[in-house]
Amino acid sequence: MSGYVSIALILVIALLAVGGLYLVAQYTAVASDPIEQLPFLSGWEPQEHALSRYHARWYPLTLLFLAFDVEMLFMYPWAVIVARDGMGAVVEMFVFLGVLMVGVIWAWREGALQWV
Amino acid sequence: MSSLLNPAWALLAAVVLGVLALVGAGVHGMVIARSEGRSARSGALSPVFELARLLRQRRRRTVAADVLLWRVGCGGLVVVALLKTAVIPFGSWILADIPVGIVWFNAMDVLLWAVLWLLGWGANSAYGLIGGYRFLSQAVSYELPLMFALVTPAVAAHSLQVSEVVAAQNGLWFVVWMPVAFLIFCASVIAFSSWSPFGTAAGSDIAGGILSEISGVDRLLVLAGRYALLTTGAAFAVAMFLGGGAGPLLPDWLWTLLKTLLLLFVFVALRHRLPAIRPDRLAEVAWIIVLPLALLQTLFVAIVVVVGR
Amino acid sequence: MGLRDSIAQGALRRVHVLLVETPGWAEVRMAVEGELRLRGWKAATSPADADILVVCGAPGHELASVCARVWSQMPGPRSRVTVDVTRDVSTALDSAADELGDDDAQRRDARARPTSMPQGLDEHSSVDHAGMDHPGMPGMDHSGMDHSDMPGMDHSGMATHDHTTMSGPSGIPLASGAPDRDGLEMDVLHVPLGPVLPHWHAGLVVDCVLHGDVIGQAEAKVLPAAGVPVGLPPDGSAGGEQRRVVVRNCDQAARVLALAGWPSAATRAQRIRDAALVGAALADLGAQLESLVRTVGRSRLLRWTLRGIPAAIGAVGSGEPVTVRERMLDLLREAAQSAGGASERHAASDVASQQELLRALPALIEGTDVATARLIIAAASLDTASLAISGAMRHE
Repeated sequence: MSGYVSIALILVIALLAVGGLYLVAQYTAVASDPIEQLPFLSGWEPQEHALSRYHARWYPLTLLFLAFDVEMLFMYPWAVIVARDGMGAVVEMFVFLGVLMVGVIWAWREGALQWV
Repeated sequence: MSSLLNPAWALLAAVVLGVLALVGAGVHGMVIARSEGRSARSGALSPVFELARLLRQRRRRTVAADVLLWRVGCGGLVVVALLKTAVIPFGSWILADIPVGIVWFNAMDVLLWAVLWLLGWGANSAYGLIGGYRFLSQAVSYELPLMFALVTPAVAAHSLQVSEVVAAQNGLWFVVWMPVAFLIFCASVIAFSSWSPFGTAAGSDIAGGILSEISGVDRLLVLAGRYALLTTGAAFAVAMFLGGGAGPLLPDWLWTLLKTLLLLFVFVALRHRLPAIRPDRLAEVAWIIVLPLALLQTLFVAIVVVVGR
Repeated sequence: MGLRDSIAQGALRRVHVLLVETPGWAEVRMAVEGELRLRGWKAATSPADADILVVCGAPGHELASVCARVWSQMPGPRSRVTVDVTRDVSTALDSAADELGDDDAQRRDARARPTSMPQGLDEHSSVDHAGMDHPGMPGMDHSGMDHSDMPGMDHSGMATHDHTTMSGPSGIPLASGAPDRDGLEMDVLHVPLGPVLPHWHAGLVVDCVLHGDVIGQAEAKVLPAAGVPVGLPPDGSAGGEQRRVVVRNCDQAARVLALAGWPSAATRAQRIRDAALVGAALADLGAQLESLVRTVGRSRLLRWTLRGIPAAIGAVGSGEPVTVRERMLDLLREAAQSAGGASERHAASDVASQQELLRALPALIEGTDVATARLIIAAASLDTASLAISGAMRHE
């Protein structure tokens, strides 16, 4: 348990460090308050807010990633017990990974890895 | 290996990280000064001057920005880097030798997805937005190979505890028989720090991207956070693959320090020497070549572990 | 005040400079870049990153208003300076740095500026980008650059514009959707590229409609200068023509290399360029160029990241379609040959062919992402100076 207390400690230190730096900058900066400005647009004014429904063309890739990423949930516990459980655990895990990899190759052939 | 539960040690860890990051930035300054035809020495102090400059500069806010999320992005890099140090052994000391240290490190670098994206999103700026999404599209490519690279030492050590991984390298460093995992891990460290050649999120083609709207101490935190992330990445690679504090003659903490600095210098120097790798070029290679290689590396290690039982 | 003073002193050792080049004043911009390298200063990527705004040359009406806006976007401490001729560069930067180091003046400037935008976007200038709002540019003092300080700009009196009916927060409309190249509807952003952008042709503006980071439609134009520059001195030194080719090609290749994210190679090209400018022996430069060509040509990583990106030159009808990488290498090779004494007289780029290239540019970048578009534009041998001058003459 003491490990997690240490982590909490270092989190507190991190927040204090960031906060402290802001305090220092309040004093050292030429003005303590931030200045509000238009976003930089090569020297022009924005015609609309940039916050918008951004067109992420690599969207199919995120789905592929999600499928594989959920699998990592099993990978970590597996790593701990694989030595104890022996070849059976290796075969099971890599057959599973192999199936996922087939999915990746299929998605690749469908063009999910190219978006420009 | 002894866990340390004392605010003083946690503070010391933060200070050591800060100093190492500054040294890394100094080396980067020297590399740049050399290539621009000045003496390397003249560049060594440039991060200190940069620090002064950014402390003096006024902070900036953009019209209708998502200020809260944006500031979370600004401060987040440093916080994440410090949270990572908790599980990194320094010689035979470690702040938090938790049983899932590797998972903790991994969880923290996934947090960076949010942090760097918020940095781009929060500013309500078109260039920032492009930068933030560039980082995400890069992240979906590097993250899985990174995870397998992290799992591989755990398989060999039968544990997710960082101290056990270091202990398991007694006699043979993991880099010797899992070089692929080591290289993938190093590349991923550079990528999640948004450092060149994987630094297109902050590319000059989009006026600095995620950096384009921040100034003053906000910018300082982001730039320092990137160096801190590179440093913790290097230090973790030392623990995972380079035998931690193992080495002749010198005390183990010094070996940790030396190996970490060496790796950090390599990361820093690479920035200058390689052309940028755009996320859209990276995706295919990462998924079709690097990911299977990572899987084969893990398979190889798993078989060795099972057979050598 | 000891801490503040030493911080100001430290800050002056690493000044970030935002460069705005007026078409025709490339030589001044190069001189500034060389001076930055010498001093260990840095070129800024955006106003937020900048301490000093350096305007090279005499910008025309529109470009001047762009400069004013960029100036108002710099957080401060800040100073600005206009440089007209190469020999003034060093003193101009010195005086700007002095101004930057004056802590009291900078604090006064900071206090004098409004901390929030009066109404977000001011509608006056959003309707017309032509910059009617800063007629007195050159003589203006710092605080006078901000909109709210402008006399006679009554924001509340302008609320009757039809513009306001579609306004979102802070007077800026929200993005609206449009079908992309696959027919999927998503929000589009109108993002102009240029004239203030790192590694960009002077005065060039490419107005883009962006779907995510992919360019849907584009339109290109060049902002004119207010006058005609003095230009490169007519063949004073030996090998004037060859020298000019070395300078021009290295400058362009450096731009492509910088956008390809390869700073060390870009710096090498820039240093060769600057050596040529100050009259270094051409034979030495030739050897350096050969070595640079070898380094760049050997890089497999570069070959891979630039693979399949077409150079604009092919589109304008002169022979085989080439890639950006080949084009950049050709530029360097040509420079090396020129430095070696080959003096093939280049067809002076006439205005008509430049206009054709400018017209062809949008078609080349539509459908590509911003990073690729930037590379294509950088590799296009667009001589914005001749276009701007011809444009300025037309206006008169």
